[in-house]
This record gives sequence, C-alpha cells and structure tokens, in this order.
Amino acid sequence: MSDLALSRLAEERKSWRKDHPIGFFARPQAGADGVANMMIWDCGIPGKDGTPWEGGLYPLTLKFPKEYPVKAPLCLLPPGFFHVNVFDNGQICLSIIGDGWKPTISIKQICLGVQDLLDNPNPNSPANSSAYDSFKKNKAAYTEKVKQQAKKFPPQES
Amino acid sequence: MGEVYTADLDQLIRNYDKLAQLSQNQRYNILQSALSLAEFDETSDMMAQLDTSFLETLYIDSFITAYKADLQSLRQYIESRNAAINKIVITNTISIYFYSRSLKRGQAQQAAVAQMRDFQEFITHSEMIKSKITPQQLANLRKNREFKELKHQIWKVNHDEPYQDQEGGDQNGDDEEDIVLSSQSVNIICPLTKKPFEHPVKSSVCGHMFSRDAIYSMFRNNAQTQCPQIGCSKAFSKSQLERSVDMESTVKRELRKRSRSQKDPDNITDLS
Ligand SMILES: [Zn+2]
Repeated sequence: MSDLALSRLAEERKSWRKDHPIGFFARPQAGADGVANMMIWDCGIPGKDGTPWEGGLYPLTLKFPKEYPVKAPLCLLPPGFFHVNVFDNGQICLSIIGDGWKPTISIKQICLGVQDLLDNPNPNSPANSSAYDSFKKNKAAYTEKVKQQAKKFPPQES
Repeated sequence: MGEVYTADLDQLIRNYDKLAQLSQNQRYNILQSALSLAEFDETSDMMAQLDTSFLETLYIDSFITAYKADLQSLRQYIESRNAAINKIVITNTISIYFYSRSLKRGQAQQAAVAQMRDFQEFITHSEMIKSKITPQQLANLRKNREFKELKHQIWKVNHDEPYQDQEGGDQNGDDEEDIVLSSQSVNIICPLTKKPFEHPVKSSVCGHMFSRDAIYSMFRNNAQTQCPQIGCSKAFSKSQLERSVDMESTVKRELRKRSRSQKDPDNITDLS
C-alpha cells in the first residue's frame, strides 16, 4: 500500500474535521473490527435548498485506489439512484472525478462537486436512460421523481 | 589548428560553468550555516564571518563570469579567423595566462586544460583573488541582490516584522519589492500531500511546487506528468523540477513560528 495514499487520506480527514461545508459528513468506514478503513469513506451530500433535491442527505461512498491521489477515488451513490449522470451501479459520471481528475482535488471539493451535479445534470453524458428521458421529455415528472427520492434519504445522525 | 583550439576552449568554458556551480553550492552551504546559526545567535561574530565568505564567493563569481565571457569571445574570434590570433585583446590576467600558455606550448594545450580541470588550481587563484579584495569592493558587494536575499532569510528566522535593509543600497526599489513579496504569508502546504512541503521542488514549466517524493510518484514509468495543480494544463519531466531552497527555509521558519505559538488555542491538534 502506498504511503502517500494513507498519509494524504489522514490529512484529508484532519482538514475535514477542522472545516467542512454545513450539512455534509465524510468519514472513513468503520470495519467489522471497529478499526477505520481509511480506503473507503462514507459521506453524506445534502441537496441544495430551493431545488427538488432539498431535504435529502444522499449517501456517497468513496473508494480510494492504492494509487490515490494519482488516481481518483471511485464515487458511488446508492445503486439505482435516479440521476442523469449516475450509472445503475451508482457510479457517478463527473469530470472532476473522471478524465478531469487532479491529484490535488480534495475530498471536500469532490463532495461539493457531487452536490452541484445533483441539480445541474450534464445531458451531454447521460449514464441513466430513464432519468435522461424523463429530464428531456417530461420535466414535471422528472422533478416529482427527484422529490420522491429526496424523501427516501432523510438526514440522519452524523 | 583552429579546431583543436575551439575544442579546448569549449572544455574551459564548461569548466567555468562547473566553477560557477561550485561557487553557487558554496553560497547555498553558507546560507544553511547562517540559518542554523541564526537560531542560536544572530549577532555572533561567526555571522559576520559567514557574510564575508558569502561576499567573497560573489566576488569570485564576477571573475568567473568575466573569464567565461572572454573565452567565449576568444572562441568566436578563432572561429571567424579574421585576424591573427595573437592580436586579440583579452582584458583579464588569468585568461591571458591560459591563452599565452596554450600559444607557447603549441600542441600542449591539453595540459593546460587538464590543469584547469583540477579545481585546486582555481582555488589557489581564488585565494589570490580574495587577498586582493578591497574594503570598498566588499562594501559594494553588500548591495548585491543575492547578498540581500541572504540577509533577509537570516532575518526571517527570528523576526516577524519586515526586514530593514541596513546595507543602504539602491533607490530604484526593485529589491524592496522582492522583500515585501516574500515576507507576506506564504502557503507552505503541498497540494499533493496536503502537508507542509518536504523537499519542495518547483516546476520550471509552470512554477507550481510540490513535495519531491509525492510529485515523483506521479511519474511512475512516464517521462512526463501533467501538472497536478488544479487549473494548470502544463506537463513537465523530472528534470524540469528544481529544488526550491527558498521554500525549504520558508517551511522551516513557519514551522518554528507555529511551534512557538503552540499554546495558542487556535492551534489545537485534533483529538476527535
Ligand atoms: Zn503547474
């Protein structure tokens, strides 16, 4: 395992604790033995106020490869998530964690990037055909579906 | 004949480059000693001695630069072959020394080159040069930008307030500006490790700085890497990364400041 990955993740954790955006959470997953697994993080992304995503706290999982930060983490929302740019398995299609990845991008920036993507889908790279069709052809139904989904992810204790 | 000469001269010119490098290394070592010394006693007599050694290397540098320029013009001259070689005007003595020596010895220029390769000879010359340095020349050298930078760095070890240039100096304000810029609070966090820089290196392509080991790991088996800085689209190779001595001392200074203000409640280490 790369020292750089672990030491960088330790710094990311420190800096998140020191300062993070309101309503978000991000922490390494607790393993079965109670020891934190630094390579997998559980995060919560709140929908922005004033958007149909409001009221939801969306669970985001970050899986860090051993080459991190040279390689981006795999960023997953729950499987079957309703969003134009989220694949069936929950994988998010977003440039900053894809082709546009930079090793200097922080976990905070990833979380903010995902929050921003929620209400600003990119129709040029659809990953989810039902969300895409509905977004293109029936905005009202799309919005309703998003609001229903928000209710499925109420804020939890963090 | 001309070819032999220019090959020899090229060798000599390269030797001067090496000497300039040695001289620069020497200044770097003096800087490091001065910084360590400043932590204990910035007013010690040894500090004044280090100052003088630093100025002497700058003085020698001016010779190295002059010799090299002479050699280069001599080389150009030989190449153009417009006049008799022995009419060339060479302004400083050591060049004349080598020049006349190679003329006298004819085929034996190689020997002169070999001797020049031996830095011992130059060191003897530098002692000669140093012994001739006048107090006025020394005083003038104190206005040299590199020397001012040295004094400024030493100052930063123990002082937060801006450096007052006690050397007097020029009115054009260029140096002033340098000092103001570098005394502003500097980011000492590597964007890759998110920790204070360790062995900071700077990309000569775009100026972005990283901890050496972290940026090296970006290369893996490639000759080049994209600059990892957000918003930077440049690529560079390992050889385009330069050690940043300035950042090294900035990090040292900042960490020292922090450890001094450790009781500061803003500076709690996180326990949660
Ligand atoms: Zn760059």
